[in-house]
Amino acid sequence: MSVSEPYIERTVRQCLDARLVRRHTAYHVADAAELRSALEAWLGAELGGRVEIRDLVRAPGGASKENFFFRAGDRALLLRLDPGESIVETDRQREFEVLRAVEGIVPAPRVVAVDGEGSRLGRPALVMERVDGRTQPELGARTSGVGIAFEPALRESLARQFGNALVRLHRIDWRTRQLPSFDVPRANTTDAAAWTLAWWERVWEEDRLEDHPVMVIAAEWLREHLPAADRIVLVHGDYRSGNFLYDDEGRITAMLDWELAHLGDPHEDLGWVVNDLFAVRGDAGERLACGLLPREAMLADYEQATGWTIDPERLRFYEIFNNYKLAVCAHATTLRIARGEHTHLAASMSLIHAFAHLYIAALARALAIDGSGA
Amino acid sequence: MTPEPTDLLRGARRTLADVVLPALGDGFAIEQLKTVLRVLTHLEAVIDEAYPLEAAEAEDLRGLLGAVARSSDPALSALRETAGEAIAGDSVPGSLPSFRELRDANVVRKRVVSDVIRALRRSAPSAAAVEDVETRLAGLVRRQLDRERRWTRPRRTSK
Repeated sequence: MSVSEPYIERTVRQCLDARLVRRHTAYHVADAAELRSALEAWLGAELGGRVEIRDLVRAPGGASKENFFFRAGDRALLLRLDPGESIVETDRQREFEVLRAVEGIVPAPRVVAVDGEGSRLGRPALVMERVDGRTQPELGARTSGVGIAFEPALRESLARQFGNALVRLHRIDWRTRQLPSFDVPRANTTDAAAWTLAWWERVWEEDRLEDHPVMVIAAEWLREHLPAADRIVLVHGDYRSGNFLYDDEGRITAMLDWELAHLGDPHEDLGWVVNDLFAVRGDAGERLACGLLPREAMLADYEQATGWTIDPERLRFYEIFNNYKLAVCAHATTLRIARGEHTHLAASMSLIHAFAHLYIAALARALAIDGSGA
Repeated sequence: MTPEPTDLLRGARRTLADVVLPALGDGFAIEQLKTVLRVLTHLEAVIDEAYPLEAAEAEDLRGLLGAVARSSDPALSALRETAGEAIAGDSVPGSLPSFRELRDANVVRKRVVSDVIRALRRSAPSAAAVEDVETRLAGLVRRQLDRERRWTRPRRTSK
């Protein structure tokens, strides 16, 4: 097995580079009234003919981009506009390409237009069709969207669709799709793990306001334990409850938040799905991964549907890596962008920062350095 | 001294909750204001803990860096001086450092601790020579996790 050098995908690197430049410029929260005419001109050019924008309002929910609902003709659409800086710095062109790649295979919003350079609205932007549905029950809704207790009557159906959609995503023959913004890690090497670790280590280095001993120990451990991926799949990167919409009949209408998608090891998504911090207790007190199925059942269903064997060591690596990635976002990026006044969600960022403790404590437990003797 | 910080926070929170929130019609603005109210509620609950928690962290960091400064292991030789500098001159008899002074000093100390961890992981130090450092590092991690839990989830009883 060849050992991979730290490498960050070309377009991810460009995105992070651009952020460092923006960090030194002023940021103004977008104004719907000011966006309208530029949006009409852009969509007119994309769709052909004159486009009239109606009902343009800021959309609630989300912790990343500036989102706006609007109507164009009889179409209900969503605009995703880059803020000054985001809890996850990602590329709209990549998001557009991956949404096109999964169209008709995984339920997801249909994309309409992308401006990866920001030449139309002043910042990179993506327009997609608005999908009906909710991310969680209205009763007992959680602000964070993490740790959702779904309606018991819908749970079984949601679990089946949630698992099937992940299987379909991982089985996509991505070589036949148009993904020019994505670099391809080599199978049977540590590329996939090394690249994704390098990405988030860079974010940690550039965003943290203070060090944390657990993060240093975790990064050292991850570098020492990089696993080889036996197959390369399209990884969602944030596949969990809270990131899909469903209707009253329990039909999943769309998987959301594809901005972290990349080519990598399927264990990365699996480790995300079974992250205990996204789990909730079921009626009998059992832990339900993503509030849907016990962890073992979730993994067994995946193995049966794909015919692939889950490697426990690789799964452990990605479970630890995923908590590292979550901690980077929550401990480092949230405060960096709130303190820099580069986000439209300053209060949310400081609140999400409080979650960092959970992710760091989970890392410490997994690495047996929390003093519990585990 | 009055008003106490919690008086100011409570006043702001009540006005936002009782007057501003009911007057809002925009869904995004309502969502954000509810988040602001959660932040204020949290801050009211933990603000009195800020200084003692930061001071306790300083104590742990000083203890660890003191052990590094005293260590004879070659793995830590390059860090001995830096560790000593990070804990020098921060105890002026009869004066209490401000919260900001404590914070800034702790940020510097934590950076040195990161270098210590890397040095320990990347070399093969003699277990006996770094025993004090390792013990203090383990204690620092354990107590820091507990402090962070108290700071972010104040209603839970600490271990």
